[in-house]
Amino acid sequence: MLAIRLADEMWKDVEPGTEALLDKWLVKEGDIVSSGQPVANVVLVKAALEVSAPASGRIARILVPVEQTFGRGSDLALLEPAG
Amino acid sequence: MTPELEESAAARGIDVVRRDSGGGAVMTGPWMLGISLWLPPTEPAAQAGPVDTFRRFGAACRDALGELGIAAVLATDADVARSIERARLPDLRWACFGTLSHGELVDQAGRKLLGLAQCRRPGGVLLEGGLLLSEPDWALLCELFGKPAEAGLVLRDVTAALAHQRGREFELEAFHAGLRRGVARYGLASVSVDVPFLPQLTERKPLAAIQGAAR
Repeated sequence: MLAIRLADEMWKDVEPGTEALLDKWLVKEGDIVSSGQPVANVVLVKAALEVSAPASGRIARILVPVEQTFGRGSDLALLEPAG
Repeated sequence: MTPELEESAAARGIDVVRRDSGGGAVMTGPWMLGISLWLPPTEPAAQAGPVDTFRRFGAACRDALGELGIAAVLATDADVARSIERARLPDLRWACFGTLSHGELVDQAGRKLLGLAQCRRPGGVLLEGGLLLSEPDWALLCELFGKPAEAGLVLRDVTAALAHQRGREFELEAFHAGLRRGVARYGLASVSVDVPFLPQLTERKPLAAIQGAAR
């Protein structure tokens, strides 16, 4: 399983302890996704950002629901890689 | 955006939209200058983190204001932390101008002049700024959101409008030219800069732009 996370560079210079908000899932559990495909919209320090699939595969489990906040390095979902 | 908010705004003839960028609620209208800047995905600044991009954009706006003789400074990390703490009681975190964030501008007394937001998509980065030219109807904004009148008074205290400092009309064209120089100076070159005065909103109908995701 691969973890889907908000890219680390998006957190650069963000104060420790700051959380992002999961605004919208663009996929659901069981969906097949391609590498780089946007899978979620999140909000961090007044910026609306996209989270992309790190590889092609199937969304196995969504870990952070809509409207929930999460910290740096959090796993947002699990991806079962193709093949 | 709740049905109650939509109903309350419609009853007052106010249009409500939910913008895609982050940040809190803003009441736009002739009292606010909207600044939009688009970064193509190939720009180095579009590949940096959102905080870095905010700071570059804020610095460009600061310099452009400076050329007009308007003193503004970038909010420091300490300013940001203080504003978030202060915004808990009464709760101002739902309003863009209720707190400070990276790259936003304050006057010499620490009152917010410029609010920022951005939206990042595979096609590029959209930066948006709202510069207070005159004082918005803070009481109305609070009323729409069902917030106590006290919140409107505090919003008035923690913000500043250029009209209060200057006593003369804002020099839009000079600001626009200064902003073009500023974005080039801070590595936001080869982008289009648009500083609309939003004439479609000058029907004296305020437009509250709502972002329910503000945190």
